[in-house]
Amino acid sequence: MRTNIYSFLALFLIIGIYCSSCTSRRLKKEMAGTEGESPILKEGRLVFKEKCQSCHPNGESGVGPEINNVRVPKIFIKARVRSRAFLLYTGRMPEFDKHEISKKELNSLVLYVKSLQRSDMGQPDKK
Amino acid sequence: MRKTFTLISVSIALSAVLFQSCTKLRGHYGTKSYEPVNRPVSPSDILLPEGYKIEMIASGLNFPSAMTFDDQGQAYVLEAGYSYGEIFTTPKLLKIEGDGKYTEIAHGGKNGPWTAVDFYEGNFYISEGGAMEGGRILKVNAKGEITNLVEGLPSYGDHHTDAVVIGKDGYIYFGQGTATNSAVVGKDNFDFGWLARKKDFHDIPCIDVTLAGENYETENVLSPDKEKVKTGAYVPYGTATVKGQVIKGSLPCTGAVMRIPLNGGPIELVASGLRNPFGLAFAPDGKLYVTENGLDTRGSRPVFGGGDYLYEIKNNAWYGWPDYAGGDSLADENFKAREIRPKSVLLKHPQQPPKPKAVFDVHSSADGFDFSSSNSFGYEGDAFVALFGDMAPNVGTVYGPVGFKIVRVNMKNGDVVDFAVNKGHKNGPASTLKTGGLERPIAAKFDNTGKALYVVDFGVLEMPEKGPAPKQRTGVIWKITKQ
Repeated sequence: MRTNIYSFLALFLIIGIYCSSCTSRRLKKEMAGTEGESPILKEGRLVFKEKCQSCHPNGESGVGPEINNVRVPKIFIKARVRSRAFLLYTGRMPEFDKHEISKKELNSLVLYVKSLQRSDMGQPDKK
Repeated sequence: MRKTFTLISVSIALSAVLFQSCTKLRGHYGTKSYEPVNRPVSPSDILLPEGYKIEMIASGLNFPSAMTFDDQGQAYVLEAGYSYGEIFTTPKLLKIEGDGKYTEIAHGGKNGPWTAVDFYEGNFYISEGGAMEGGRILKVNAKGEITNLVEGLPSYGDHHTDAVVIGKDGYIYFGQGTATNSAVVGKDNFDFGWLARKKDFHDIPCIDVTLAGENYETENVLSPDKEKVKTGAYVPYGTATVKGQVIKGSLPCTGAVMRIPLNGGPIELVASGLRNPFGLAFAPDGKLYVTENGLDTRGSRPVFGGGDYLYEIKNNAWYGWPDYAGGDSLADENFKAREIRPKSVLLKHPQQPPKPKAVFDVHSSADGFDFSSSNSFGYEGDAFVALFGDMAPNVGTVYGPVGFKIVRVNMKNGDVVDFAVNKGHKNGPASTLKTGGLERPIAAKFDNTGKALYVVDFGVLEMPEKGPAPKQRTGVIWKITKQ
């Protein structure tokens, strides 16, 4: 019985994650750049811009899928950045070892990626 | 136990379905027509940082590509006279009179696209792309009389003669794009239209190169028999190369920044190993920068994940094309396309290529740009870059539209942030978002005071299955000021 409850929870969690990922979020605050940003977010942003931006522009979809709307624990993001094996080698995203993204930079990067999920870009005028 | 197994299976299946629906690759879109369409224009559909205002100052332009200002501050715009999709119209230099009126200063023949223009001491300097007759640098005086300062530039291929800018040293600097995606002529070039016209055309190295002897087999697209042919780098289609073969460098070459004296003269090499150096601009500190359109996932030697770049141009530097992207070797696993890792076509590389100052989104097409030099506009010293927007799926697949906006590059740390972008939850050109915002920005240019940033918007260009479909007379000029 307990196993069944866990399975249901897992099912709802997975559906929840993917449903939320169908709604993209765009970031008005991104236009400010690093001005006024905390040092840790600034570091995370610059790592993101160097390693991630070209495929996930501002966390939106590009040659890679959007990542500004996938609400998963930080450890999931870290695991995926470090190893392609985490998602059974699916997808094209490369892995980055400690020489490419240090442990400190990875912590900052994850905080920055999480921060991409907290704003929006306004709506066009109703015609 | 069986129930648990079923639940887990169902959850995996459901999540797979949901995941697939959220991460769908973007396919072809639009219709194969070149006729003008009704393009709504609404500045309020464009988002800018707090305190900035955007307005439309000209519309109905036919494939506008660049702008400049004379010494009185009068604005001029170029109409390219050519668009991908093999559409040729008349290239024109137009004076913007306001109230929707334009006065023609000069026009060209069927040899577009006119890609860029600069004004210097009473004359206009225009780069003529040269899809049919080869690229040229034109000098146009106030009466509209045209003088060819240089001609026969190798522009018959995928990319053309690009930006032109006058240096304080009295030289005309210009970019020259490559014939191909990654140095090997293939079926993609036939699909572009030029290989059937120019069967022997190929890339020309600026300096001597020694080949690794890598060849790529295709069906012969130039023969009805479709027999197999092998093609190497820097040689005509259907020509194989061998290891150690030396291809002599010569000028003019492809994939380079070159220069000529102000009144014409011999071509000098400034930098090589570029792919499509579309935009050129001098920073306020006098350094020369270029926007580079990076590699595509197409042709005989496809490359995945090559971004677009902003480079500082250093004299006689080699920037890595066709074996590097953004300073990284294509031998890296990350550039693998269609399960094949691109092998080096050069046996020796002239140097370790420089790293870019900034990286733009893959396939975003980073084009014309300019630097803020005024405190009254703000962000002094930063670069403002027009991202034309992807040409997917022809250049490679994307999950969502890439580009279609103006970005700002913080020149101190390389941070690239949106500056003018269409409102809404999704990125994309206004025509697909059903708004009146930006379509395909191709150039960003400050006026002489530095207080206003002008954006040249090429207009609607869709990507239906039969190839690019640019819509005529949908070009717009936008003006951004700080309130």
